[in-house]
Amino acid sequence: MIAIPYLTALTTYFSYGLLFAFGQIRDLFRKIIDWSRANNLQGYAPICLGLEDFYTRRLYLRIQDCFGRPISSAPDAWFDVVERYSNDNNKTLKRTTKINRCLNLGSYNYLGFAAADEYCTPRAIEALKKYSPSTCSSRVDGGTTVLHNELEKSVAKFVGKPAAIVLGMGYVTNSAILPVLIGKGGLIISDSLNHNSIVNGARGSGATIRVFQHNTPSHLEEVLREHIAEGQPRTHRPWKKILVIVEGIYSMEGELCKLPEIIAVCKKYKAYTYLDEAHSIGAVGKTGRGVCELLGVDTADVDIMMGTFTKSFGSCGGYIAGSKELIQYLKYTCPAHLYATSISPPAAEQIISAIKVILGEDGSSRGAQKLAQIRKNSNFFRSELQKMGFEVLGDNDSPVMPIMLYNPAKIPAFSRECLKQNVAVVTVAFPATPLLLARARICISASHTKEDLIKGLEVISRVGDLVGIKYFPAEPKKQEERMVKLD
Amino acid sequence: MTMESLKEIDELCDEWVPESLIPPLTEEIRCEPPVLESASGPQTVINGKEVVNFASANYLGLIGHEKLLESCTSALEKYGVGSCGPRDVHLDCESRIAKFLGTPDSILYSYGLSTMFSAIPAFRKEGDVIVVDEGVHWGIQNGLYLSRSTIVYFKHNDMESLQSTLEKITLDNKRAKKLRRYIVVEAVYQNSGQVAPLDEIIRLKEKYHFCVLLDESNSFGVLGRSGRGLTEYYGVPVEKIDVITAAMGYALAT
Ligand SMILES: Cc1ncc(COP(=O)(O)O)c(C=O)c1O
Repeated sequence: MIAIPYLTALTTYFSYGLLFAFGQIRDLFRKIIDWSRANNLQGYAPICLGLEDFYTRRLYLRIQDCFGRPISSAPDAWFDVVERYSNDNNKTLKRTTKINRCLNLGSYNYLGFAAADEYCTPRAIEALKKYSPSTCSSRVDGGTTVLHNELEKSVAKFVGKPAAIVLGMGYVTNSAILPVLIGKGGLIISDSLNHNSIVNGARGSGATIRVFQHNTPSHLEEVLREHIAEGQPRTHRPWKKILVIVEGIYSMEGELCKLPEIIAVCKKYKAYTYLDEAHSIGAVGKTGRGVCELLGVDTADVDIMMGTFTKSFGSCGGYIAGSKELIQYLKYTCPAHLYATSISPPAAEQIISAIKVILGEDGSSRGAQKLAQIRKNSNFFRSELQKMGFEVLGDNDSPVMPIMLYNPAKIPAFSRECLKQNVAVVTVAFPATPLLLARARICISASHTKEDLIKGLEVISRVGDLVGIKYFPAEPKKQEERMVKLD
Repeated sequence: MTMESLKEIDELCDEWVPESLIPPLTEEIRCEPPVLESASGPQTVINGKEVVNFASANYLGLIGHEKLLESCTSALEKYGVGSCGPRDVHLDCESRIAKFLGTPDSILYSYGLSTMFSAIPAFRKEGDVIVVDEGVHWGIQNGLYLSRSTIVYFKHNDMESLQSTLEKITLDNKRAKKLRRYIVVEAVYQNSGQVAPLDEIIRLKEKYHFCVLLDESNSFGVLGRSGRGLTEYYGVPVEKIDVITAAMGYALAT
């Protein structure tokens, strides 16, 4: 859990209070002005009423240049950020033709497959020429090519399950599969920090939803006991089934799931497990097979394994891996499989090739090198940040490392200052995190070189001093020496 | 908690037996879809045999188009396959689509199916009223479910049923003026192939002051003289529709 220092909490609340007050005052003036003008809605209700869009108008718009920055190259270790300007106090941003070459510390390009790759790209282009960009059909009526079947086989083998089904988008994989697996009379127990796609899938399923404290197996057990004993609400009939949903790496926290403990609890109480490996598949584990491999969990103990190809594999889409029967059933019932256009053939080929590289089936050791590199890079970067006195969340080996900012004013300050010094970082604030816990999220890639990381650290350290986010005392010096030694 | 109640809970937990994760498979479920050995163009290869393809929504025959393949190849080389944030090409694409349709702006989603089911909950909140054709596809149905609004279905493509539904809602709700009201229809219904009578829908919408969300997945690039969809087909100014969505996996073949 994040223990926020008392003083920081106070100033953060104060800042938000101030922003809120000023926003309210400006709203009041706007209302008065609107009053005097003719109402042009002609009987339609306004799309946004009162406070519904307050956050967007008065807080987000003021710092929107820190989000959604367009880039004009592949999201490799370095990339081109398009400069933007605004003539109306940041309400709208216009793109210029000027480009700023920046170090990329924001993309989920864990293994460096996002940029052109000597093995994958030629094959993806070949698939594009042979199969076109789209199949224009869903999987069941003419959208299944030889590539699609090969992809599913190779994914199943890679994650260590008998079978797999692949859908065109990771988000849809969660939100369309969950309603098929469980419905009324079922119970979903979900980690409190699960991704929005899981939340939407769970809501869409009609099952009862309960939340357990983030990554706390003992609380999961408590919730399970309580609800099995109680049964369904009102009727007290026993639950039809219980599904526990967790993620491999939490992308906003950089934390690894306590999978062995959670699996043990689920087994004891006969609950099914659903593991979302969006950020862990390909990124961690000795051969890139995700948290199960890293933490020594037998994949047979996880009932449903889900993941996406947008991150480590530099493609698009998502998968579900499980028993042969489960996958067969999903292929017959899942709306996203039956109605949505199938995954684009070149994207499928990109995944197949990326898996081959990771497993060394391309005949080189590039995959193993990438995996060693991302681990080394991540652990180096994390320990250096900690030594400088930043409050860094997450576990060792995780390539995601959030740096706590807290104060709303520090979000744009940190982001803009880093960008000025050619380092692009992602800042995350409400509603993706709790209001008080704004942070910058660093994602490390295997394609970062040592020099890249050292440059990133230097800039972040300088900006960190400027913005005042080194919440812990720095470790007594000798940093330079150590950095050199680590080579 | 007392020892007894702890023991009781232990027993209840021991006794509880969940259903299996999935129901037993039937013969029907095991059937396999055809596997294509070439692009899903007008002719395709299945099991080594050349067949004519009537299943794909390749409305404009853009699959295999030389120019498109060329520009896709150079994009792949420059940008890689996957994306990790907005690219300038994405933004260019958004403004081109908006220009093509004649709307002020547009937004690109990465997957056709998710467009409606993200867009609907984004606009609607609890308490809003949505009137929907009962024949809409799954993406819309799911979006409606997630929006937690009050949802009223009318008979598939039946304008009398739509009118009486709108009439009833307006009468029932004294607060109707404050309530956000929407109509959701598809231009060409994915499940039935019928075309929505847009002129009539517009007349009703204006009479009762509802906003219209129109899914043009199967008409974008197909209907109208220059492929601008249902609005062009009916000669209705595009400003009259509040939100238009479309999947690009069909006529645009992407
Ligand atoms: C845990 C988790 N699941 C699912 C997704 C959705 O994946 P996609 O971006 O491929 O739709 C994400 C993406 O950010 C994620 O973090």
